[in-house]
Amino acid sequence: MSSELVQVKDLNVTFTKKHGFLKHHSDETKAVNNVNLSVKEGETLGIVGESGCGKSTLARTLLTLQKPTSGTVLFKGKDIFQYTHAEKHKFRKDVQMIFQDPFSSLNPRMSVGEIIAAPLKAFGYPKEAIKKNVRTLMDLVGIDPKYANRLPHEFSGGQCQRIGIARAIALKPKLIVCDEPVSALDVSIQAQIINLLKDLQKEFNLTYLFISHDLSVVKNIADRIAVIYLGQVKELASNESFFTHPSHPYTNKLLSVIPIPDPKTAKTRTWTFVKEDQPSLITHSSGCAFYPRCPIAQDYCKTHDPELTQLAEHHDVSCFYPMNQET
Amino acid sequence: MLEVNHLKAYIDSSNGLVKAVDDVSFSIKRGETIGIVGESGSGKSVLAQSLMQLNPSPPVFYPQGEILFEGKDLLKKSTKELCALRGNELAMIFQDPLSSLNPIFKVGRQLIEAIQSHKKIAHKQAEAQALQLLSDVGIHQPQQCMKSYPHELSGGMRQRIVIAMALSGEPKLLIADEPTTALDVTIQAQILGLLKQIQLKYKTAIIIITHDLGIVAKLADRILVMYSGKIVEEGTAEDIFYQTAMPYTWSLLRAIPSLKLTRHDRLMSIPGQPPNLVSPPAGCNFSPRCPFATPQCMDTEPELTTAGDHHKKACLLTAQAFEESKHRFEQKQPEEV
Ligand SMILES: Nc1ncnc2c1ncn2[C@@H]1O[C@H](COP(=O)(O)OP(=O)(O)OP(=O)(O)O)[C@@H](O)[C@H]1O
Ligand SMILES: Nc1ncnc2c1ncn2[C@@H]1O[C@H](COP(=O)(O)OP(=O)(O)O)[C@@H](O)[C@H]1O
Ligand code: SF4
Ligand code: SF4
Ligand SMILES: [Mg+2]
Ligand SMILES: [Mg+2]
Repeated sequence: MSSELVQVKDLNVTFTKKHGFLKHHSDETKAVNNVNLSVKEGETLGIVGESGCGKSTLARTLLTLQKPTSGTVLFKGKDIFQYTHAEKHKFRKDVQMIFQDPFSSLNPRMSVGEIIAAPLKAFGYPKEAIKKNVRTLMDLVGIDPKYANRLPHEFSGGQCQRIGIARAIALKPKLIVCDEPVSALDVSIQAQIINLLKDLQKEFNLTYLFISHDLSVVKNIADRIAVIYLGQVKELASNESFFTHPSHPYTNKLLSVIPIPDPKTAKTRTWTFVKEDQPSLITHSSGCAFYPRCPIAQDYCKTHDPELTQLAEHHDVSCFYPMNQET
Repeated sequence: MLEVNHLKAYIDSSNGLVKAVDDVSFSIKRGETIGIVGESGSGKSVLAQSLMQLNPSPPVFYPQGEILFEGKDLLKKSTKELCALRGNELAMIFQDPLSSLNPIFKVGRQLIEAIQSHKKIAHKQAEAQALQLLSDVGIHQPQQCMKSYPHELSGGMRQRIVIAMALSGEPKLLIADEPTTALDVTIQAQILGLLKQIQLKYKTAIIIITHDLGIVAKLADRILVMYSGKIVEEGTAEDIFYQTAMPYTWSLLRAIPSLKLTRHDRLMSIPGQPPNLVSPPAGCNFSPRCPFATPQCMDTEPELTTAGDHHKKACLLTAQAFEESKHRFEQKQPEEV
């Protein structure tokens, strides 16, 4: 048990939007819907799902930036929403975040040196130590320390992401939540950042929660992978088992849309001509959430909601008719 | 249909002269799809907007070249003539769908206005056409969609609406600048499928711009690889993928995160930063990042030369030297380049 850094239990985050005349109607958005997950020390848990499925909301909740509607989040065995003042302070040091948009996550008026120094300053590091630390950190992420006085706009997207990473590791955190850290970057630069994150993980025994909508990116970094659909965990498996036996129909759909960088194979695949709009978190009936889009749905799924259950070792799925198990 | 000859598009900026498009030539036929691929800052958007004559000028100017659309040079057309062409014969889809939609008007109004700007038809007819277009681009409830504001729709739906607007004039040439970069992979697949469907239906020529070669593997008949304002390789998708003729394309291909790799493999990246167009490196612009650069590359600029039937490359290495370099490189892997 001690190896579990984060435990998420029966977590729900519901947003209520009132509308209509005199606000009589209200829509409930279940951005996080009964999620149970754990993150072990030193591992990378990949979280995958389409836009709007609740990935960032989950991440924000783990960072205490979003209050859960119900359920608990334990960090090193303690509920993060019941922390004392001193514990909160420690938590802010132990848990850091890396964002999707490398530019807007850095203050445009601060030099990159100041940006990286900010968390150290906030935690009362002495001046000399800060200076030395900033230099080491810049070196670590591959930005020449002589550029410490430059402003963010003088750097490219990939370099800004490196600066964001330097800031995130400044306080030697235990956990870093990475919300789509490479989605806004060119493919050529994505690989640099992923390699950097892997190196730093090894060096500092970091734990990552790595959010992405791209399974090919997640495959390259995650030890375990959770697929989220409309706020629910649909499949949770070790990297190996996940890719050798993808079992949920939605996972298979996600795998089938990854562009194949090979004209011959790509041309044998049919085009996605489907007419489908984004699924909505609001209209939720009683059955399986994936029912409206599921290619193998049965009548039973319309009225029954599957639970996340173990299918094989290190492999849980939430579907009555899992696929690909004996391949 | 469209022929670009020795086009240069330079930009006067506070940091100096930006050679965003530097002597680019290519052509596209009816019903054909061309993919233009390159890293951010390689000049793709400036090129795309040159074709539409949408670059603000100043600061952008065209010191050289011609853009022949059905035989006539767009660079010599008046603003009025260009306006008539844009939206009718030529249409463009931008990376960020929000920026091409007006946030304060409902989708229906914007679409109807777009249709009426091309054709003098009654509101009722335009409305019927708008509904048809929305259903063509795969929107389930066009009626309801017409009544929505852009911010009430998902990213994928917004991009479909932008595509619907671009199609409203039944263009002969559609230019899509990173149409899926802001979207996630499922929606990306739908949008690419949609572009293909449109092409089959209207025989539209499509130029699709992206930083990811994987995206155009299936869609493009021909691919132009751009680096530092120049075309560095040009060929069919098969040429580019299977007969890769120069190191930059080769590096881009290896950077695509592949499902074949496991998490224990190190991803291949291109070292350094995307090109700087104000003071490009001397010689071959790719030389500071090129794993196979020779001393000659630092001072001699390669020209675009033949590498096969309709296949061209800009690299000083001979085909044999390139093969040998790749071989040597693979021997000393797997450490990162
Ligand atoms: N503060 C809020 N108030 C109301 N609804 C919200 C709020 N924050 C998020 N939501 C809704 O919750 C759902 C999940 O949002 P979230 O940002 O977690 O998605 P995501 O999976 O991170 O998507 P993306 O891939 O686009 O970043 C969405 O429907 C969103 O509109
Ligand atoms: N209006 C402008 N003023 C100054 N520089 C510009 C302007 N527009 C583009 N550039 C520069 O031109 C180069 C090419 O830009 P762009 O075509 O947008 O690249 P890409 O689309 O390939 O990412 C970049 O260096 C960019 O900074
Ligand atoms: S439970 Fe039924 S509807 Fe849901 S994913 Fe499985 S097969 Fe499809
Ligand atoms: S000319 Fe030289 S530097 Fe340029 S791509 Fe070829 S080998 Fe590399
Ligand atoms: Mg998000
Ligand atoms: Mg661009």
